[in-house]
Amino acid sequence: MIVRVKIHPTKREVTIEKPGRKVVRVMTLLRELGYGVYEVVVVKGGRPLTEDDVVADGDEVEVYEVRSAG
Amino acid sequence: MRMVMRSRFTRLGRLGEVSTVAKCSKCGSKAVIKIPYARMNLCEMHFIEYFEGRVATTVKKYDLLKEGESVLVAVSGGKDSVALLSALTAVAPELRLKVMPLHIHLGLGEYSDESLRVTKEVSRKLGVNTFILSLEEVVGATIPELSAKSSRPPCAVCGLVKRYVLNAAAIEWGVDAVATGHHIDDLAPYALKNILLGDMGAALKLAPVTTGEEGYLARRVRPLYEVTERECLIYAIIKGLPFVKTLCPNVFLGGMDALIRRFLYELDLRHPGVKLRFMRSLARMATRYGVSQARTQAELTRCKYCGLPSRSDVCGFCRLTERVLGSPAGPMVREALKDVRASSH
Ligand SMILES: [Zn+2]
Ligand SMILES: [Zn+2]
Repeated sequence: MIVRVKIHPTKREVTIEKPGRKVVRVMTLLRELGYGVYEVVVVKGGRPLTEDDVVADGDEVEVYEVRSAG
Repeated sequence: MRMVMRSRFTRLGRLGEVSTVAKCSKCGSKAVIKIPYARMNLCEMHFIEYFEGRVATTVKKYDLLKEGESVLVAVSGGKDSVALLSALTAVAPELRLKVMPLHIHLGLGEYSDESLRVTKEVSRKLGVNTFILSLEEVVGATIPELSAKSSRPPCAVCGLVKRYVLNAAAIEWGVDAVATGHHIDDLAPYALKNILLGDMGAALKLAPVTTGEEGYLARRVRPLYEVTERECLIYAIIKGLPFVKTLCPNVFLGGMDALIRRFLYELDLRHPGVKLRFMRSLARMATRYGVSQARTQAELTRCKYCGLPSRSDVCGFCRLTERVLGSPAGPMVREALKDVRASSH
């Protein structure tokens, strides 16, 4: 499976590939990206996901880093 | 009675993972946030209710604002101030408050232009009239220019300018208090840092409210005192509020502050709610001793140029602008704020 991730505020785009998997938990996705669960908010289709939700092949998600002081 | 379902186990195919889909603790529909310190999972609707309720409770519990009072809300266009403006606007009728947003264009290039655009869009969306003051138009210089010419760090200059303008606006417009979008994750690390460095007075100034002085020093309130930065972000996203998604060009996320922040993050992860208990005890202490923005009455004097609070005969803002521009800009800012107010009617 392939999930496309856009990270804010850096606007970095990452593709996560998990051969042989149909879905992957948000928690696993974040571990892969090197984030703690409460350091970011993961959004799919404009709605936040919890760490227990799953993303599937072809999904596009946005990851907002919480600490973006400005 | 509706049954509260906390979780559901779903087998997601032989090659997938086992997911415990979080359910809203109030209605059982899909949760969008887990709040460990409150031992709750909430759906979109119930999280909005929770967030705004927490802001209303903070206002009442800490006596930030009384019925019938007006509050100037500092709106930068970032997620926190956008969440603050939205939540305060939502609870204003219940609390009988008059919300007056103010945006300061600081002249930080593209970042400030984007902040202004977002602020206007949020204001339209929330149906509020936001006052706008351009630093460059009023004093003839931007933050980077003031910083470069004074050889002071941009963040120090920016903080000084914002504090000055917000207070001046509140005084000039006769507003009862200034509300800022500082949440627990802004405040707790600084409170802990000040305690570690032995400056209890500075720590107590991070309480939910610091009193003012009639006619020249506005009361400062922090309605987001008991919400986290992540909650502000989720609230803004769920409400579909636009917010600035780029970093301030001058932001520095490092040093001791970042370490303390990291420590509090880890601590709260293992002991949910400890950060909140820490800040509540700080608030209790502040209430017991009374916290003024000036640490002692002796510090309260008036600037000879603009008449606003100062530690010496010239306030920080007038001193900076006098040095950089040749004349103190305090009086000009006060005049400009009168025009800003008048032109919005
Ligand atoms: Zn619900
Ligand atoms: Zn002055």
